[in-house]
Amino acid sequence: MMKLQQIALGIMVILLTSSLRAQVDYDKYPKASSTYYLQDVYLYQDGELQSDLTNVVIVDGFIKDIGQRIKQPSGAIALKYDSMYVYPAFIDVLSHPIKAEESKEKSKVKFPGLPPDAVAGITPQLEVAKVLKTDGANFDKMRSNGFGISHVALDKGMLPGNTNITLLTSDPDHYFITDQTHQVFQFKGAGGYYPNTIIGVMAKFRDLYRNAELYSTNQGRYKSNSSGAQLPSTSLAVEALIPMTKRQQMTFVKTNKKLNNLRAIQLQKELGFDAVLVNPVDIIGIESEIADSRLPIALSTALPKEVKEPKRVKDSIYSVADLEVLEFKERQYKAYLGRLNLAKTAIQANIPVAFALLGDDGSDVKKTLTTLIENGLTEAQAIEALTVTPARLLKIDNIAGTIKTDKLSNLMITNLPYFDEKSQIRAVIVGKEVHTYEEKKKDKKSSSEKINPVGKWAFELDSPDGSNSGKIVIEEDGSSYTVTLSQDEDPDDTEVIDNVTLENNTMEVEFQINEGSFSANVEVTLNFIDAETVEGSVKYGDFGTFALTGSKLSTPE
Amino acid sequence: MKNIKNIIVAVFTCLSSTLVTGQLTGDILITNGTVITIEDGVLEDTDVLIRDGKIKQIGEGLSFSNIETIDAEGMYVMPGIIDAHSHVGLDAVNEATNPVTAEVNVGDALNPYDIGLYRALAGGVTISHAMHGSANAIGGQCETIKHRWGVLNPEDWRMKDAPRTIKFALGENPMRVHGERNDVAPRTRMGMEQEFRRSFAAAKEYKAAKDRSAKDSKAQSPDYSLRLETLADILDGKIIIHCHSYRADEIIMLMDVLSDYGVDKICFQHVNEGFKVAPELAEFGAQASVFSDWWAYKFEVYYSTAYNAAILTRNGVVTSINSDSRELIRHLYHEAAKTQRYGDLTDNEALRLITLNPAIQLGIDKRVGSLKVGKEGDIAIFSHHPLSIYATPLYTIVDGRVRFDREKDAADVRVDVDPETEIPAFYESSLHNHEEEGCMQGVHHNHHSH
Repeated sequence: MMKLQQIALGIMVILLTSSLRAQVDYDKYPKASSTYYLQDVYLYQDGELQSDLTNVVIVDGFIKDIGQRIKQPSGAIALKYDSMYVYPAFIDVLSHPIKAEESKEKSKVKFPGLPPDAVAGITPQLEVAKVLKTDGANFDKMRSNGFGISHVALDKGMLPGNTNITLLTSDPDHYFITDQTHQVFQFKGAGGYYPNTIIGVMAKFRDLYRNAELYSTNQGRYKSNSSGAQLPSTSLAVEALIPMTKRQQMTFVKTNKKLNNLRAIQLQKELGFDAVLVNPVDIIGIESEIADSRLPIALSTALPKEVKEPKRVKDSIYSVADLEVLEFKERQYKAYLGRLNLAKTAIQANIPVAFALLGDDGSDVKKTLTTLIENGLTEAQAIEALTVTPARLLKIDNIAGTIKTDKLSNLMITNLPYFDEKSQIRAVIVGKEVHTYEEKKKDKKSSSEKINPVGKWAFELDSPDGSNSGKIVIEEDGSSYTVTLSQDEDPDDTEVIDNVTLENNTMEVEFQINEGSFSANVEVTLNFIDAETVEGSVKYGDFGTFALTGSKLSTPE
Repeated sequence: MKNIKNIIVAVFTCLSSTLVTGQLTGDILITNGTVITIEDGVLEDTDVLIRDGKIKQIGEGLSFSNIETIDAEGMYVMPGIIDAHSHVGLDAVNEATNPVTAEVNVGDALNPYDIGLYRALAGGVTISHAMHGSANAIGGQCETIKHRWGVLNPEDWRMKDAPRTIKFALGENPMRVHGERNDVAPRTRMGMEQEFRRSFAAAKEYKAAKDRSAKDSKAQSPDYSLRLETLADILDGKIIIHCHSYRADEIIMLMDVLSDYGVDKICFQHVNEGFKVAPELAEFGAQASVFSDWWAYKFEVYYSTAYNAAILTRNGVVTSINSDSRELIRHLYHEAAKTQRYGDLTDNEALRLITLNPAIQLGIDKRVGSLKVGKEGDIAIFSHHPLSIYATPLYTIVDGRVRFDREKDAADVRVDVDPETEIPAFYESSLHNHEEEGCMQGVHHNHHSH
């Protein structure tokens, strides 16, 4: 409808701005001590919370000592988390904290069949580390959701660049916990330039890989015998892939689609690099192929889009049409349950499972894990997939993933066991930094008096292509509501939505935009502040979420 | 409405029984059918025994204990139909960014969940030649696939050890995509010829440079090029060319180019003016894969004839009839039958167009395309003679496994369901289109309630 899809398509960059409760002990002066003491806490070790209270000493970012009889060392700063729960902080297998800018070179390319590497999305020589250090990264939100370590990568094109494993500290000088970098590969075409399609991308990958092997040999040969010999070829991109071909770097293949997992395995078998399948989306029916490949998987922390269970009314007579629709929905629901069961399915098939934030900030992680646990994953498996397994997969299990002496102090402290509904993260320790979080009080607003939303509202939408204004008409029919949306630019083009719920002065409106091949699910949230004011947001499928503000124009008699 | 409950029960039983996975080959005994062998005549009241996916015996009164058996009395048993030109089951068809993309391979884009593949099976098609598109002068490599519906790994759909094939294209398509749209060669039919010559010349140079560096340690080997490697393999006769073509002059042009480079494995596709140069094609040893009666959809193919297949056949050109369409692939036996109306081909000649001849064109005729002991157990069983307009495919068997069974044909045969994609049910969409109120009123209900 309207210009909504234009708005949605126009969004390339989503900036997350958020006010956080985290309090870092920033200080003008160096800290008196980097020794910390945790007294009487429950540790999560060996797949479970230990039943005895214990003490932990942290020195210079490392766990120095664990034990019930360990006393507070002199000069140590005591952290007051008595009787709270200490987990290894979560480890994210792949994320994109920095959004790549769209290349400006494209317009200069005349022949799409042979674009420069940068336009083709082939930049394995780029280093995310440099961008992180100079431009800084906003790790606050990830950290506040329990993450201590992230494997960060650029995200542009089929081979976006070298990755880095970082501590989620606020200090760029202490980001990197290892010199080891890896590569990302994705089945991403260059948007009208070669390689444009999946067949082009796979062929180009083979070509680059074989050249990396060849360059390595040729350059070696030239070094040992250069007198009178022809100069070997050079290429930033090709040479950057040499470590991959020598298995000195792993390749994190973002598959993003069921069949792409098998395509990744095919390439891996053919060429022989070390790989991790990231965001496999679905593996049902191909578990044995993945297990045989011995490639671990990193699931997205985002839940699949919810599918409601269709109700088959007993003994009722369905028309042939209704029955067909119902059966389609039943299979769709079954497939949805399969997705919720994915982690468990994989673990049962002996596939190592970890999670990747993939640009998310981790705020959904607890909800996701809880849902997966409701569908059969155990709590221990869930924690393992965020701690031990990713540490092993990133080859940092010598310093992270569990709470043990001599490991990094990479810890998450909660007031109640993590999976308790009421648990809150009270501190995340990353290396030498202790980030504390105040207890969140229950929002009192929800119990305030009920506001009648019925009537006509004017709204402004803060979208990337400038502000958009429009009208919302809310009508009530018994206990259900109908919402009519229009934009001022084209007031006759309206969208009437009856998928509307209202609870505690918050209205959720959901609908689908279908324009030709484009479609997106739109979720509008309206928080009625008072009788005259509304605030909220509009979420356009995967394109982003935008703030909405509005005021009431009229109320029907 | 009293049948609704039965339908529900039937649908659920079928859903669970049609999802065959795992094992690629099977055992099956087909008894008392009219067996159309293609190479050894038509055998009445004959049995066919398949063991481990291969035809073990053809004869009368065969028996085997504990084996799945189809009583084919009154039915017609023929080799599985082979479509030499299809794009069904592919996630990508054209890498249209460059006029030469020999390095790409549509085998990388196989999608065995494409419902079109099941529909092809339901038309008796056991093998299709999944092809790159015709956007480029030299497009990508193609994949010969076995229709193993229910098998979820694309690797298991490849017909193992089938010869490599590659798509070439002449005429308007590459000229439009590259010449008109991108302002690069080829812009004209003259440019088309140069595109092939330049590519083959580059491949020859590449091979020579590799040979030089192998002999001389001071000489650097050329950069690896999957594109030139592939082109060199064509020059070495390791890949069969399948060339999209319409006009006679261009067909002759390409044969001249191939002669100059010593390449002789070529099958022309569409080749709507093939009838004009049939003797020349036969002399070169080129083959032809044609439509039965489809032309006039663009200028260069304004002129053709439904006698094309018959004329080519009579001139000794190995000819097949293909679909190049998700719809036509469902009834290639009708398409073959048209050659009897237009050209008086015999039953066997007509059926060869969709069995043994496409097998020859794909280089798999030693394995499939006719019913012979030792060949692979790919079989289509029809209710009537397959060239009869009354013929209905009843079973389609691939490597001894039943992959389509009309009696167990479920309403929803999808093997992979994406919960995030709404697939509108047929009836639901037809209701929205108000077809029920028009000339199709009541048709859907009748269709589904018997």
